[in-house]
Amino acid sequence: MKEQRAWLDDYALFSVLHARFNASWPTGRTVRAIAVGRVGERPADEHRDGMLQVKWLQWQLDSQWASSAPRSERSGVELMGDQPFTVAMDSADVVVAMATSSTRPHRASRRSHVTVGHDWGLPVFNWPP
Amino acid sequence: MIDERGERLIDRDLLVLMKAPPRAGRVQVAVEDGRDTWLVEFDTAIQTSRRSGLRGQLSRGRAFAGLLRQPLAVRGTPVPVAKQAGGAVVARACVIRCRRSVRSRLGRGRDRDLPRFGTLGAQCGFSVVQLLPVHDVSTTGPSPYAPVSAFALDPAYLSLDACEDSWRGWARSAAGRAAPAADAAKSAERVDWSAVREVKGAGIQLAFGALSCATSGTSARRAPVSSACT
Repeated sequence: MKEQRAWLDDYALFSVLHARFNASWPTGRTVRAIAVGRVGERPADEHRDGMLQVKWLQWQLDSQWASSAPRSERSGVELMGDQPFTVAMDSADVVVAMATSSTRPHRASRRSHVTVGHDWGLPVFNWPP
Repeated sequence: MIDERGERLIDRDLLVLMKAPPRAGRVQVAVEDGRDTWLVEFDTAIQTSRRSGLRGQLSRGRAFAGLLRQPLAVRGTPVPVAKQAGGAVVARACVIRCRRSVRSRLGRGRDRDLPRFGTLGAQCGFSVVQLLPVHDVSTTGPSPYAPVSAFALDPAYLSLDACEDSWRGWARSAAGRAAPAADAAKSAERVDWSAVREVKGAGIQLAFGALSCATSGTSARRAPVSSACT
């Protein structure tokens, strides 16, 4: 669990605050709350139990996945997951980046040079020039 | 499926499990038969009999596998499309439910169901079972294209029955309290993913609440949890 702190702490805090604010888009309030919650790398006491539940849940999921894969292989098939090609705008990764730096991800415009396809509202990378 | 060195990673058959689509529709998939690539159309509105159980899923899986192995027999006119580098066959199989899942209050989750389904897949000739998506999309809606983290797994896949031994009793108790909602979700004709997620979330909440209450006065029992998670 401690080996996963690089993402797990932020994800747990994001999950707790997201549930509290019931927001579906990064707002100034949620971003500020994330920034405050991360002060000193020690979340406030009011978030501790909620974060503990989120971490416990991920621990259990990881353990169950780890035990399922070899059992599936023994049965004759290989078990695979997938890798998300990007995260959502309303995600722990993006909101934490907004809270801890001046990064302001933006979504692709529907009227960009792409004239066909879907607008999923996904953030695009702010590549350096 | 070809890896970066051009070597074949898996055999010809690949079964992809995806979350139930919000609306029925048709999906077109490119399928190679060794010489040409065909455009194959699948109907995502896979109807499952309530009483078919695992045996019904098995026969359905065989039928699906047979369908994939014979592109010419697929309904609709085969249309050659651009050649692809890989030779994988991808099918949408919705969410697997079996009798044991129905008996269990909140479903067995992947810890129990996936190895069983792996056996089923092996009997049908599959070599890989892929679960899509595995990442958490719980706060953004049913879209699989909106992960809330690049690393977190989806809580909907948790098997409460398979939690750590010391919490299993609380998990079962919590599952029993959530039973009516779980039964309603499972008796639906089609998988209601939002309802399943809601019920599973309630079960997780109850299980962890029971864990917290049971260990609040005995720090020695909670210490390993806190130590591992903080």
